[in-house]
Amino acid sequence: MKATFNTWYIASIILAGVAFFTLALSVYFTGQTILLYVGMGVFLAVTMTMTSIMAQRQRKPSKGEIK
Amino acid sequence: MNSEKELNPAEQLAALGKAQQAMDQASGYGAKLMGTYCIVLGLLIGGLAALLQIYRPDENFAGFIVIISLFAVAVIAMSLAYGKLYRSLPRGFSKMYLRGFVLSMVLYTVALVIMSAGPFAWPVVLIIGVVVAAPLCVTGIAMVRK
Repeated sequence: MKATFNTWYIASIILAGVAFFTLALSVYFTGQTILLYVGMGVFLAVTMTMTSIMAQRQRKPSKGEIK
Repeated sequence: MNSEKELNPAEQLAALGKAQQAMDQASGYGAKLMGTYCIVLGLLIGGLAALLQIYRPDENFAGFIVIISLFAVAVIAMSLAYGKLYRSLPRGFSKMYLRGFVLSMVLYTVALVIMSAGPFAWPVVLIIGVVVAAPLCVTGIAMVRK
């Protein structure tokens, strides 16, 4: 079964969110605040990248449009 | 037996116009819905940024984790909503949404760094909240009004 882009989009955003939460939680045990910023950076990077790819996919079909 | 009758050019044009009108209506509805989501998410993220004043990681870690989880859930919900609605958005709205979303996210991260530096006066906290909420709220208002 081939996963659609939408499945990848949902899975990667949720995974990034969970990873961010885990890293934020680990700050309590390790005391390393930098982990919070790393998690935030990864979460935002994944969300923004996936959203931009999605936005590009919206523009793609318009290339063949009759003007 | 074929019950379908052939349409003459004028009828074809009328049918095309009708379909276009339905599509415009759907994209207008999509834009309004997405705009509303943007405003709600903007206000939520702005509020969460301001709440970092009370729930600082070094003083109240449980509260801080709740704020961070709410932020993550809000961002995931917004991204999933966009994933559902992006096909029914008018042209250019994806770019507009992306701009507001990225700006608000970056501002939230900056707010997180600033707020961890120490407690601030409440007017300053309010300004930080408004600044974080502004890009998404402005985008949402623009989407709803168009």
